[in-house]
Amino acid sequence: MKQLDANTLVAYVDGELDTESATFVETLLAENADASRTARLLQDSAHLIRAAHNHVIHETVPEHLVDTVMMAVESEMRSADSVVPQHLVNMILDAPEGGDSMVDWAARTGGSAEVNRPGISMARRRSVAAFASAAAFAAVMLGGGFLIGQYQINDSRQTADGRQVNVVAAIDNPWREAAFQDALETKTSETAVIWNNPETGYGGAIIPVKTYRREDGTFCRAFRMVETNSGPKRPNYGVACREQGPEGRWIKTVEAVAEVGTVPTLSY
Amino acid sequence: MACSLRIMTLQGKSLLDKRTKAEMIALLPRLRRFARGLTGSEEEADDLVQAACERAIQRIGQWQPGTRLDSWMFRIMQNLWIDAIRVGKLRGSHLSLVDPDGQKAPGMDGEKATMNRLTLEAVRRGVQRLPPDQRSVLLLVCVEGCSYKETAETLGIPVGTVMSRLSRARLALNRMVGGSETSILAAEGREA
Repeated sequence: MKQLDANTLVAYVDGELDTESATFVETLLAENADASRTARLLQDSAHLIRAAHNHVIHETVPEHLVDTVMMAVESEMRSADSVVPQHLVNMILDAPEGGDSMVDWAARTGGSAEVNRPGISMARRRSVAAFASAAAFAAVMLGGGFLIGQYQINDSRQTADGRQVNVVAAIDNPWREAAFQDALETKTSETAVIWNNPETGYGGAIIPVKTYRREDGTFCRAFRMVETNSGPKRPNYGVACREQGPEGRWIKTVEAVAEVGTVPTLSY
Repeated sequence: MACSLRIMTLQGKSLLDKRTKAEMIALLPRLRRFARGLTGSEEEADDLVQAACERAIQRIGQWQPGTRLDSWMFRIMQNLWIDAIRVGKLRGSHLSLVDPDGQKAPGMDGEKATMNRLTLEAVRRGVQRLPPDQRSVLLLVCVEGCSYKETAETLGIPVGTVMSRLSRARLALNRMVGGSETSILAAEGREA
């Protein structure tokens, strides 16, 4: 007969065993009064351990702790309503980078060069987006993937043109749209929502990459899109803003597309 | 699904934005609870929470977005705590300094409240007597409600190690606290 060891018994009490093992433990417990009593004690003591520590959760958190977080320099900058925020441009240009980026980031956001750079006017929004995707393209080509980072804005790059920009195409795909709303409304940045349309076999992902707030209080988020069926004209970057109200929908305000073959396609 | 893995590997960077900060602030009560259980002292616990927040903010780029911020911060805290014990800044064991009045629930009569308080105090003392590695596993599972798998990931140890540390801790605690069935059950009944 198999012996009931302490690890298994504790795991049983914690509900960590699969059904089969749990059933097995129960049969053993039914035959063994000592083990059965120990199991009960373990269960009770688990509640006690929690009760002994739980009061802390109801205490008022000391202000200095809240301040430690609250006062931390954000990686994000506020921006005026009528310009494409500088950080957004930075975001699109800066492919994700690994490692400890805090120092770099602080240097960039705190440095006068970046902060003082004038914003870009609404009228140039399209070209900025196009320029951004062109730069992203360059990042992919140079770095062999999105993990390369550190693209600085540089006026000469703004002359890059010829990239296609599609403004707010009507969204006809309910699958994509559902994922789009879900991603922007509920997901933190860099968390992908994946959609898949079983009828067409196409799928994709929407990935919010940055959130900011306009002066009128409207939340906007930049996002990335990846699709299995990404054709040459399928936009893969964009910005959407949330309509006012508790059930506000996210509406795309700008989209951009990088050149054919420059964006990694998603493979299932 | 393979694609989600692929997408995750494309993402590597997280930034300290308002949302992350808000999430961190919302975590503070739980961080304090975990820290209090580790150190047994309110002052040391809050110092530990502060240090953990500072480090998390500093290294936010290492947090994998889409994974749990709480696990990541628990891990940071646990590492800071172990380091502090190693260099002798913190004692591994703290036997006295838990606020004894914190437990008095309204509506309890004096005798029951006292019994209850004594038992819970004994549990806290017992937890403080456990070796540090057992203590953190115990707190994550029993107080924070983490699964074994989550605990293993948080602490960077195998699930088997979680199980063995946990069962040693639980059995030791059962022996330390009262040691008899009745005292534990009686106190539990009052707490509930």
